[in-house]
Amino acid sequence: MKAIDMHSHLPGKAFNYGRKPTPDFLYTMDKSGIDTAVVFTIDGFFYDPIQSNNLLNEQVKEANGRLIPFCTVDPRNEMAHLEIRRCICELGFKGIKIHPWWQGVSPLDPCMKMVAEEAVRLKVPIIFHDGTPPFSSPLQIAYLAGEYPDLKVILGHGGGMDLWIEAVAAVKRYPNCTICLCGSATPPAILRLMIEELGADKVTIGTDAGFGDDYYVKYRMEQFHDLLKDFPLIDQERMYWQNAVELLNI
Amino acid sequence: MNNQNIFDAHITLGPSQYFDINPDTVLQLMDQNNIEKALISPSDQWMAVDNTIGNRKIAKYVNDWPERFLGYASVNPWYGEKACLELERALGDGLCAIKVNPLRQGFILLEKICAPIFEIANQYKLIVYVVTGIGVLSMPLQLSEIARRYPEAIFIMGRSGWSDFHLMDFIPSVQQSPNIYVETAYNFPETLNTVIQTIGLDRVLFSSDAPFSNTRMEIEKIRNLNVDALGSRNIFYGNIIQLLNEKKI
Repeated sequence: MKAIDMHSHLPGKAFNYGRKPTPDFLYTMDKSGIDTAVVFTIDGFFYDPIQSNNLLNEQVKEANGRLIPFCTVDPRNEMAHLEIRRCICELGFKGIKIHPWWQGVSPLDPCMKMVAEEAVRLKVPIIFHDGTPPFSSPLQIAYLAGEYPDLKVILGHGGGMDLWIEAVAAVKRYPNCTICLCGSATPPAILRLMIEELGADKVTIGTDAGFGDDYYVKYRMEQFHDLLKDFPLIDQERMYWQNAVELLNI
Repeated sequence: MNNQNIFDAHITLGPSQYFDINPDTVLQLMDQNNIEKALISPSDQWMAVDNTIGNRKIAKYVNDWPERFLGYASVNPWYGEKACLELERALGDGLCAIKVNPLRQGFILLEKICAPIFEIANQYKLIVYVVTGIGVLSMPLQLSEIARRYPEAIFIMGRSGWSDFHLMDFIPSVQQSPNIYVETAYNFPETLNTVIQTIGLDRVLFSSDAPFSNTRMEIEKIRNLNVDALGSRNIFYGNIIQLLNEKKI
């Protein structure tokens, strides 16, 4: 079945990973059964986001459309909306990734309004790292979804290990909020509960590729196969790729 | 290689909010995955409130399947003196280690109500499995501090800080406390290989965290570590056996 990885990263100098050439990244996707991957930076959360967006753009050009880039910005930068506009309108990026913990910004910080408003204006989703307080709890992020009902908000880890119940509450509360089941941040048995609770329409899958070695990606996809095979085919299609297509508007 | 003995250092049994895990299910899972033995733990409700019921159940399972199960006792420290008495009783009833879950039992690892439990563990040189990775309540460096206070006890860092304390805190906290062992559930080969490079593999224990994680994949993961056959055998079996043989109660 076709698979869109809704959560992956092209690594760089952060964590001493080193840059991964695009062909190598695509090779890992091939080995893991991933057709298309939404890719974010890692370095952009720590260093210069504009430079990181440009690097991401260069790498994506080599991927024949298989990598769909999301930009990041420093939400406190008063020109952040211009960088979002440049990435979406000029470079063809399809969304925004914010990592509130690493970027040191709460989703409730007033500066996030500009990011949210620009995303609404450009009709692109924002995917957030979530599951790790104090700046990345699902309901903090979903609060933004409540403030901007036209904003597409994706909880990038579905609450992670301990806050999955909060992620479920957030998605139930706000219709513009969905979850990405990002690998084994949450135990597989709990992921099953979440899907049953929320329904397949609210769920996408992600590997968090870029962290760890190739084994990590393959492992996470295998985990999804093991989990999703028990759901009706129509639901599997939704979670593996259809929901992603709708979110990305591609 | 695939037929090697496996000892699972942490499986949960009993009723909880979301699952009801009975011994037959667990034994089936163990058989399917060639797991010879497991340390089994009481589930949420049994840890949080119904300690005696849970400990008796776990002891019964251990008694019914002595070749397959060893058991963790768990008591909620908020019961104070009663908790200590129940712990002593459960240990006398055949359970051999302690499980602590600050999230379910409602305390910060460093709070003084926990001290009597750790003192018992220290006195008897017991294994204490502590769920970690929970912000505020149970973080790797908190466990490391506890391990330094109670150097005779052996602590298993449950979940090894997953997540996201596995990124930075996990390895230094283990490095500074030689009486902390790490469990393999959830963390990936890359991190586990770094742990092994840093502290050696003698303090690495296989666990599946069944039924929450995927047992088959947790086992396969260990086979992808950069360790030789002996190292793999020790992670799967030898290290926990040695630990259990060293305990004195």
